[in-house]
Amino acid sequence: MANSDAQNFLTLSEFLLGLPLPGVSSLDPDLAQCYLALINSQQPAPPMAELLSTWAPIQAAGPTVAAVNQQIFGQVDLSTLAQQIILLWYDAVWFPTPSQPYTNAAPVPASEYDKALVWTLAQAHPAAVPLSFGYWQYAPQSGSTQKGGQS
Amino acid sequence: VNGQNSYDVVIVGAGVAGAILAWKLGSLGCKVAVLEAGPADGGLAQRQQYVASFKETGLSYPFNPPALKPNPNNLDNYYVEQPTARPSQGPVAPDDPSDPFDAYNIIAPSLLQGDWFQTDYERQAGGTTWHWLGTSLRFLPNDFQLKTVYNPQVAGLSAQDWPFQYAQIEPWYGLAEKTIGVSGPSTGEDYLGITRSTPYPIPEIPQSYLDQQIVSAVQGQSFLDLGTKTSFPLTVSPTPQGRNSVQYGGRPQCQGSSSCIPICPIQAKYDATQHVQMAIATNNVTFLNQTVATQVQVDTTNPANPVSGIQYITWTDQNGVVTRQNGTVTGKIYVLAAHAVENAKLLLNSPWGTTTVANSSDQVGRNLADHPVSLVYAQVDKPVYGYRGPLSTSGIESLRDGQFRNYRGAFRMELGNDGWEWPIGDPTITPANLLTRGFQSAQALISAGQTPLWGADLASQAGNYLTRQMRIGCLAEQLPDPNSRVQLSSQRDVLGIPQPQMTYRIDEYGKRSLSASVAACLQVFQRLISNPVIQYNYYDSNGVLQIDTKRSAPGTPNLFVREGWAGAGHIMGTHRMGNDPKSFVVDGQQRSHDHSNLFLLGSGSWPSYTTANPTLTIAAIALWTAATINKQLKS
Repeated sequence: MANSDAQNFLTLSEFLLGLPLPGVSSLDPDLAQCYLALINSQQPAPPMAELLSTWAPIQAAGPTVAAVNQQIFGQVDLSTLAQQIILLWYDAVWFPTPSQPYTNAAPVPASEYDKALVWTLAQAHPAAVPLSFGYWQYAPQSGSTQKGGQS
Repeated sequence: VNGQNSYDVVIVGAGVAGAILAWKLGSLGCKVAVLEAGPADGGLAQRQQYVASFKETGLSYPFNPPALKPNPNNLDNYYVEQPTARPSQGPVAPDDPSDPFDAYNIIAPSLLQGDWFQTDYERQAGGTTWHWLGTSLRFLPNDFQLKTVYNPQVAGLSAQDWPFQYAQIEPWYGLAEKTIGVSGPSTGEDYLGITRSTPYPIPEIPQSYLDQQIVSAVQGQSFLDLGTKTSFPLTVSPTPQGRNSVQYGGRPQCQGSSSCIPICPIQAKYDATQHVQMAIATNNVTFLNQTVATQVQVDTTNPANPVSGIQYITWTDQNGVVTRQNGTVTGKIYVLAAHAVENAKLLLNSPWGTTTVANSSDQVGRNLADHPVSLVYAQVDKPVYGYRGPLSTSGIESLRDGQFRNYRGAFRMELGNDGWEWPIGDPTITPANLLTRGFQSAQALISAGQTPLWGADLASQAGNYLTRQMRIGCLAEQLPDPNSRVQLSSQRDVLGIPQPQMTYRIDEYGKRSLSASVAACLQVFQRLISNPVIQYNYYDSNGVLQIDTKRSAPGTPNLFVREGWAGAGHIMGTHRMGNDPKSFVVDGQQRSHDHSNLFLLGSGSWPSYTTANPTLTIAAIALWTAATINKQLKS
């Protein structure tokens, strides 16, 4: 896999997710590599190469919401894949059909589960990961939440 | 083992009842054998496997349950459902003018005729306590005398009293709390007549931030029972829990892993593997693992009809190749502690004269019950921060008793710290809902001239929604129904043993309890939402969530009522206890009326079902029975 693909995937992901977000300043490049490989292993093959080749000039020109809305979310296949990428980072789950999240959802390996962004956005922490005694009696403190997506 | 009369006591099942009984008897010097259908306690490695399984599947139960099943990939097939397809849970309309809470009805008429039983269980050392929540409530004094105090007679069903009262079981509750390690308030409970002779062994688990918001919201509020015109305070109480607030019983302090169901990763929550290990440490207890009891044998030459042995099959499974070895284990006393479904299955599979073992009353397998749960969930106005801490740390217990129990069941309100995990499988679903603007396909969005919601806007909204999610699950009380029952199916499992077949329905008393519980939930949530917009929804016969458009208010909903019901995991009532041998299977000491050396343990013995989660009472009666058996052995 070309390094440029990995880099493009990382910048595409960061733009789709709207980084920086509260508690999430950047994405983990190693996790991006993992997710890119996971996407490319899906059957039928998602149009990853086409999405990256669409993204590259958008990125080069200075990405805008309008460009992504038109060139990516205006195309059914690319929109579906972009949505899948967003949810992959959010949930560490591959949704074959984002509009039907209960159908054939496939969580990624347990080692990546803790990095799902949704825990940070919920100001919570990954379930099944020990934290400390008693914290639940207080509201979460701003900035003290888990850095989702960061290793 | 085979053919040797080498044990004082033979126990079937190494769950919470069997493990505590084995440990107690072993520590008293009794020689004990325990037949466990599933594998031995796998300790930390097994726990880690469960944690990984949860992270990869999100399921409450592992994909490949240890005990053999006809299909290891089907989680529900320890038993066979009756009817064969689950009826749609909605749409539902008010349909019973005699129910004063009928406007809040969530049970379709078809579910009074029959529905799937919704509760699973685990077959392995430690039993279903691997996955329990930890709630360790005592029953109320009036729970033991429902017939005497309230005498409900609803739609052909009536109540039964227990053969003992609260005062008699109270010391055993105290011992059970010490045995499990229950965290509870130093002042004890302050509701509905509960008294205590001993304090909780460890301090209470702190109430969550979410709990505290509800405490503030319902301060001074009361709930009016429309049938009796009586008001009850809406009081939020800290829940006693089998979860360590400090190190106790060799287990660590809770670290707020927020995954009590399906698995505590560090065993801060009690599970019965603790007493499996303690039983082994007595050197008096032998565990026969992967050993499924198949039949109970009776010595019919003896007028007292004592049990003379238990036949079993020991199995191995190597890459799908199953081997089996038959055997018989004998002892002086036999205890079935395989819980309400498997106890009934084993007895019904054991011929005795013209009937089956312990079944001269024809009550074995009958009166199957659960605590059917109503789910009401909401987006409240202010953040409450779910998905943090033990899955429930408080409940509203003040509605668990009252004169209303003469026409409807009581309920308890479990306040969830788990967001919308139970109602819809969050936190993963809401982001998908927001992203797709209500589960619209990419094609549909493009056709409508829309884009998905993405970028910082999606993150902001997802965070806004997820932090304001709250759910209440109410555990409803049913009446015993002889036609809700466990029978033997014509289908057999891998070992050739008939599978249990479940026939189950919601009864009118339980239905009314559920209606009232919805009314109470709405009252609580309306204190937390300034402009509530209620949606009623249900699972259809294909398991797809549908909106009940006729009942739902226009606008964007923020308060949701689930039509139909969910299982609580509390299987009860298949070998009920009582003094009359013609109507009950065991007596107040859990001894079979038909066989003097046979005891049946677990919530299958309960003649009424109350509203409290069952494990503490199962443990208390197991400890009590250990004393009974020890005394019988010595006599």
